[in-house]
Amino acid sequence: MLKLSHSKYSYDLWINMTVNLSSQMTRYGVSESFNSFIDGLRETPGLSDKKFRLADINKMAQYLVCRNYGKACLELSYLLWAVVNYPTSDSAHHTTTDTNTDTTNYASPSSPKALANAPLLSFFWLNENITPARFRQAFEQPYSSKQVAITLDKVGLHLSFPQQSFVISATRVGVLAVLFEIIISLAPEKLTLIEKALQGNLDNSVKAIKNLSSELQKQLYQFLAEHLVPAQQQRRFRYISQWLASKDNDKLSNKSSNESYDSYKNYAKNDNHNTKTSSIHLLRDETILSFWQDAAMDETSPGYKLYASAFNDIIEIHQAIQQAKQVFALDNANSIGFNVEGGEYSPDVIEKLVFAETSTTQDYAWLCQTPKFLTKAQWHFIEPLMQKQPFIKNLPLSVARLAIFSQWQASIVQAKRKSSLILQDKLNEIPEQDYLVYQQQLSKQSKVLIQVVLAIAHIFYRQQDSRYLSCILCFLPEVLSQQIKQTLNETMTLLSSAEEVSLDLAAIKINKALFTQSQILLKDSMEFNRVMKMAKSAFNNNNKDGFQHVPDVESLDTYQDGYDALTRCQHIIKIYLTQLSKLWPTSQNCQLNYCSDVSIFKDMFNQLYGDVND
Amino acid sequence: MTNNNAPKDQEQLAQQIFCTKDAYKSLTKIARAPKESDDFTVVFNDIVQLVKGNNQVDFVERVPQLIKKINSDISLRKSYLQLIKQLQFAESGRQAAASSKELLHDDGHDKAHESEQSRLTDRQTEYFSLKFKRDQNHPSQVYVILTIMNPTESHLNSAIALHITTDSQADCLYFPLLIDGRSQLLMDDDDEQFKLLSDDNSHLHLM
Repeated sequence: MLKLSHSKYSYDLWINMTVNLSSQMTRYGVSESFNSFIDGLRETPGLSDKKFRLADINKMAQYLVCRNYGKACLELSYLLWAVVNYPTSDSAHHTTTDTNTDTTNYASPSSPKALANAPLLSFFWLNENITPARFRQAFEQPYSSKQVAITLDKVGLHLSFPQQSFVISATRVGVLAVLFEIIISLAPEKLTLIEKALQGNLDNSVKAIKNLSSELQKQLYQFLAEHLVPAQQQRRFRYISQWLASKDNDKLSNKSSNESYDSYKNYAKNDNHNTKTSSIHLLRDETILSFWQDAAMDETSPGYKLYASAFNDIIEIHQAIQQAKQVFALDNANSIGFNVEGGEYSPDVIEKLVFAETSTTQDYAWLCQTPKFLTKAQWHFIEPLMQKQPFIKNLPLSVARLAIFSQWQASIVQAKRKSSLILQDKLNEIPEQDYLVYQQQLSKQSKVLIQVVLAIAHIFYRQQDSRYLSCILCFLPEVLSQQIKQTLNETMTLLSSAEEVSLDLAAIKINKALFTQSQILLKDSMEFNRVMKMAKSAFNNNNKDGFQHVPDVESLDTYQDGYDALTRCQHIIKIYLTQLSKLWPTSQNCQLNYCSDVSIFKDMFNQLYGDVND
Repeated sequence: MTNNNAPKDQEQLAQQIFCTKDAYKSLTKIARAPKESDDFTVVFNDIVQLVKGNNQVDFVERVPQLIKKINSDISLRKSYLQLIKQLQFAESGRQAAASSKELLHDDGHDKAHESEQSRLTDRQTEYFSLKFKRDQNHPSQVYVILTIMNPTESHLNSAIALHITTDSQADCLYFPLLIDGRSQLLMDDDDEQFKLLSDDNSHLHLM
């Protein structure tokens, strides 16, 4: 039986941990230390590079913010059971001994013996069996006894108990390792307690696993109770939803006035719950500016002096309201999991709604880490655009204002901290870039991205990885690109139909065949050759971290991630530039708009930071 | 069944969607604190890597701050001590009475180093030894010579971590690869690490 949180020992330590992790909340509903904890997970090193994949950490963050970690706790508990009870070559000879023995004056040899008694430490930390490949290797030999069996199949690890079975997918082990790191970082003593609780007694395995799962859930619940508190976010939500509702009322009472919203009539037809909020609205650039002008001057607002904060919150909250409306319009609200007692929607529902589209919630800041796909300056330049990518079509001007004027505001705030003289100078300046220059730089940036994509193509090519093809196809003439696609597809179909022992082997075979095939095409085509030469020179001209030498085969997946992110960035820039050209058909339109915006923002900044506020 | 509370429930749903997304963005935002700052949270794996002697550049730069945090946090310290015990190759415990002390061979001209300070106890265990030898020309500097009797492969291929613990603090230092079973460091005798290393009350844990 597990009594993790009941023993005085673990309780004291628990208190220790929670005291050390300050629960001072940020305006984002998470404590400073929760943020820094996740940072710590991102930074912690492993056998090579960082221990955890960013995607796995983000997935875990997703479960935590949705408070939807029940399934993960259960999966982890099964995995821990398997690790503890899977025989290792030397564990059969040893029974558990306490590692907390007193120190002596005698030296003791380092021992696989000691570690055989710490299977969890060995599996998750020393051997890092937390990638699908290492996980498979660790459980390579099937094991069975009278009561249980642990075997690998194509999907993952199959655990059989007398009454039931459970499968842990090999691709889940990374996320589960992040969860376990969180659990053990919060309460390190649990490492040995869990081992003891799961070891042996195979008749009661499932019961022990389920007990453990519920203990883990309790631990996370307690942690989140202190570190995920949405009070401040709720205040921001109420402030903005009331502001939007008041604008709606204004509009209703003055129908003849200019429309400040667009509406989708189809949605309105379906929604008959509330006349005041009966239509799905699209925000417009004017509404955003007007909200900032109101809220920045309102002493009671929850912090909207910064244009960036006002912009961010109003679009996010507006979007959430529209999303909720759609759910109610399309679905019977009773059927989507409202918990009447708690007055809340279930974690499952929220997770599905918020994370339906992951690309829009992705932060690409890792592009300027190692390997350095972009310099910090290059990333910062496109950062506002990438963060607001779902809104660039409807709110092109607001995004341009964010890029130009919120940068300017940040420098004014910084100047204010230094001295009133510097502040005064700053207030009299104008931004370094105008909208015209901004557009030109975006086009330039797009070309920079192309060079990085080509350099990645060269890296794949040098490592004989057929993924180089997907990187270069868009640089080839359409006819040739189609021809290559067709030839390669045929090869793929031919090979995929063959039965292979493992998925890994099949992938290796396909890659080899595709690469060889592409070599033949490369020989025959001048165009293809030309693009590969461009790729080579893009690589040679790139001296940033991660591009000085052709990297190892093991790290190629990171370059694939980089390629995916860069093409996404490029796609967004392209869409945005098209929107801007619609917004400003001529450079004169663009300059006029800029001049008028300078005067609006200058006026606001003078009011916010000028003499009166000193 | 109709939902009479639709507007309220809809608002509740919108609020939950917003709060969740907002918190997620905050948690997944990269590079909040600058690398050199000590404003980071230690996860269990950091301590394991410290004990194992992970030599990735980013991590090595963080080691001094990590040690500082371990020394000021009872829970981290407990994990650290336990991991050292679990993963060590060999250990030398607290040294007994002064009888085993040897006077360092300085040339006797430098009075300051004839004091109790200069009496340094060599460490001898079944698996390794540590000898202190003062530099003839620069008496404030001491050669620390590590000998491992039956080294493992890792002692020959990567830097050797030696963790030092006392009742109140902990630290670690790295010796270069072994050559002919020996490795040495040159240290200033007022170096905090050296003081810990040569303290009779310290435990040495060779990884």
